Amino acid sequence: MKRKGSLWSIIALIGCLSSVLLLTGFILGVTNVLHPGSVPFTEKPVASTPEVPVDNSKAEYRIVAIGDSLTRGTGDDTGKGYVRRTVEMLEKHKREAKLLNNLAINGLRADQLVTRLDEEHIGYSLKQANLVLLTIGGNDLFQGAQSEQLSSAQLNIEYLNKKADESISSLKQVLNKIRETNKDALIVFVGLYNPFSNVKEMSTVGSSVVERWNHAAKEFMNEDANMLMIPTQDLFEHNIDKYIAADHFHPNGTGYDAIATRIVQSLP
Amino acid sequence: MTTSLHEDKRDVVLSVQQLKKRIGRKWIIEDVTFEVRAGEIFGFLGPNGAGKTTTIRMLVDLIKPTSGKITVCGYDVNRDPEQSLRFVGAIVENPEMYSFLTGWENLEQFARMVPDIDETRIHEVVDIVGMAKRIHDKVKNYSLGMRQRLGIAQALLVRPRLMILDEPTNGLDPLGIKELRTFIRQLADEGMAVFVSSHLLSEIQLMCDRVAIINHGRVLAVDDVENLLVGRNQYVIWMTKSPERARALLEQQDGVHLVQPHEGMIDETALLGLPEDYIITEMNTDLIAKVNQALLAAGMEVEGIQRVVPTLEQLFLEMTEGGGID
Amino acid sequence: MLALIHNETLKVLKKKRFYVILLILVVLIPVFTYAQMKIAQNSREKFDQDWRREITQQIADYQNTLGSDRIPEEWKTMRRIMIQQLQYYLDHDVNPNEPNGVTFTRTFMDNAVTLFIPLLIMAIASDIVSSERSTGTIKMLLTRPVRRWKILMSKWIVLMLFSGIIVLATALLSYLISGAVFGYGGWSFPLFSGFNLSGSDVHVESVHMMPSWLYLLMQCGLIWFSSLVVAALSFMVSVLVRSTAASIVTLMAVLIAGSILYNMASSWPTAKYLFMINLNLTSYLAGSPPPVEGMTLGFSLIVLAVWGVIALLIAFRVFTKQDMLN
Repeated sequence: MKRKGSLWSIIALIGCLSSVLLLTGFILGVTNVLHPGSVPFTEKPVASTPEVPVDNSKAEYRIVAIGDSLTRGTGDDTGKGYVRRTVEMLEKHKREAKLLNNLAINGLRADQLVTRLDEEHIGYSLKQANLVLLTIGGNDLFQGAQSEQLSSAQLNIEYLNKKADESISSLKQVLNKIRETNKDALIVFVGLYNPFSNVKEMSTVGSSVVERWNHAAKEFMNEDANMLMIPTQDLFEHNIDKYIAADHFHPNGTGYDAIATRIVQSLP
Repeated sequence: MTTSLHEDKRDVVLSVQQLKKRIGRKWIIEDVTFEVRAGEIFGFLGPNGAGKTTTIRMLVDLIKPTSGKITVCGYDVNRDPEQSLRFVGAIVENPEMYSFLTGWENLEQFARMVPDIDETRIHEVVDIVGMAKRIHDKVKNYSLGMRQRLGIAQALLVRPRLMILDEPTNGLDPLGIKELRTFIRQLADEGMAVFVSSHLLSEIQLMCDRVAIINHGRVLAVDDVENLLVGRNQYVIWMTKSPERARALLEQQDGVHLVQPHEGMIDETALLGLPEDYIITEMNTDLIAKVNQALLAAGMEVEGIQRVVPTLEQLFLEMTEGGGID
Repeated sequence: MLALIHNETLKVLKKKRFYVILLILVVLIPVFTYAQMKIAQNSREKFDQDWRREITQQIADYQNTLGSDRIPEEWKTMRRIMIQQLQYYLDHDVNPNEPNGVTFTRTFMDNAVTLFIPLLIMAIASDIVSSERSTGTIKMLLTRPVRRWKILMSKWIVLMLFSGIIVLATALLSYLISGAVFGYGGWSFPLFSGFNLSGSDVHVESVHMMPSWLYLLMQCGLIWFSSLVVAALSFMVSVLVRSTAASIVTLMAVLIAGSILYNMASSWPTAKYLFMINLNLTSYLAGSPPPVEGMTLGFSLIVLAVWGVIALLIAFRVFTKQDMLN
């Protein structure tokens, strides 16, 4: 009898103590939300930048991919894109490769990428890389073109050239920023292709502006020995039906595979 | 039952005045008035559905009356349950206990809800109902009889002045019923007022001192049990080797009527063990010896004579046909 | 009163439901721990335990969904808020998902508040009155010389005690079990609270840092409040519905409907007056967006309190007036 008698009182006591504790928590919680900072043990946070751990011990590609939807892999049914395909191919060739981050964002333009590179956490990731994969520019030149009816303004060669020149300067800033962040990494820039080479009205105009853009980019990159441009226009020009995805803008799996093959072949 | 007014007042343990209860639009209880005094066994007799259980539930505050007043030892049950129910021990319908607790733990539960009941008292009631051996078993392992005993134990726990038992013989075997009867008498002899409900006239006859008869929510009569059947013919069953001759002879006797049994007239269980060729007569029981002699004189071997109490339904029929016992 | 609480506590314990609840926790928490461990292993392989890179990737992934036209605007708002908060954690070099027992407990409690803990509470609450009625023991309980409101009050107090125990036991067990895998540290690890939301913008002026133990305490306190409201509602249903199964089903349906509604509430603003939509009090602590724009902690507390108080009033009113017909 004694034992049973104490069981209920222990439970009741635990119940009371729990309730008191939880009531305290409740009051603190409500105070904390309604009057932030008035609860003891809380303090103002201090911003801090961490040391970037760079691991150079292994001979491997530490890859950070950045840029637009091409880097994201849009259009690839497997979702791998050229980035993952590159990693896989390198591994197949018995070369160690590791994808640190894929920071690409669909629809990103070169000027947006410039601001994005200022973000702390992007830099954190870039600093750890020794290989940076980059695509940008497609959205600057052809934004809206893949989904909407081609307007006459978009077909206008002068208008397009002007756009190309603007975005080239953004591209230069992008490349400079990446180089600032990471002095030693190999920067691989995948050049533009004309997604409309099989569209009659856009074929010539598109190719012309893409050539202009690629040329300017190549010229700029030549100044840095550790920058590499992978041309794609020649690859896609006559294979557009084979390499283009259903959206008539992004490459499909085969297209990405072709790009990745080139990258792997060009890598030291 | 002719007692002085002063004594009567003191002795009344339970008083029910003009009790009425309506559920929805239906008046379940239309007019119930009676008093139960200390030391008596009071029968509450009525067929199923007459309002017995509803009345009992009102006695213990499970149901609030629509109007009327119930007092126990002078305290109003509905207004002052804390005082009045202290004097009441009750089993309403089946004695349902917490099956996941032992008998002892059940009693402890109830003991805690009433002041001044200690472990000694629990031991006492356990001994009274003779359950000391099994009291620490879980109730779910009890037989119906043991549950009844435990029910009585919990009712006794509070040292009640009024004991309310709702159809207490339900589910008991004949031996158990007999034990219960003795036990109830013992309680009454100790000065307790016992209120017993039943739908069996025979049971009330054997058990009670006074009786209230209820039908359709009304108390038809309240009287001493002896007066219930006074001046009323009873049924006598004759069993002989030569039923035809006996029938003819019985027919000629004064004050003896042969009856064809119809449904609800006689408790079916009373007829169960009988041989086929029995004769039912309606007669004054004083005449039995005389009629028997007549049969013997005529050379008939009488194998058995059995008095049978009419069923409640039959009693009601007679009461409404030709002046009741009011 | 203490005796009544004693009784009710014993009943809850002896009915073993409470132990079943503990058992459910002991079985389920390892399952979640295992799942969490798999996730942690996965991210360790992909990001070399560099949580900053993991968060960076998470932000990039969220940002990508923002561009899609197929994603509803509310989701985008939520994603934008989460991006800004993750960004804040990065900027202050604090890992919001530091893998340890405390973090697991915090996440687990966050996920348990709307459905899991209410279900556990319900298991006890929905039974506490209805079982007395379905087994018939209510007759024994209410024929004691104790007023009905006291009996119900003792049941409610016991229910509150057990609600507290269940909330704490959930936290404690999840800490103890997950700690075996993730380690028992992390009590003083800093966390942020005080993100102010307006639309999809996050204002960080009032953000402040607190140790994990304090955060966990606040979290449990808020969950406790939600639990009491669920307990009050279950309690009411338990009084109104005779069958325990029916009362559990009723509440389960309501809770599950609530958790479905939670995600759709933004398109039906009136839903913010439903108690189910307001149960997730801990989201205000973490600064997650509320299901309906403009809901605040104060609002939710008032809505919950009103529901709880009304439920209790109904429960007490019905229980004290009700006729116990069967």
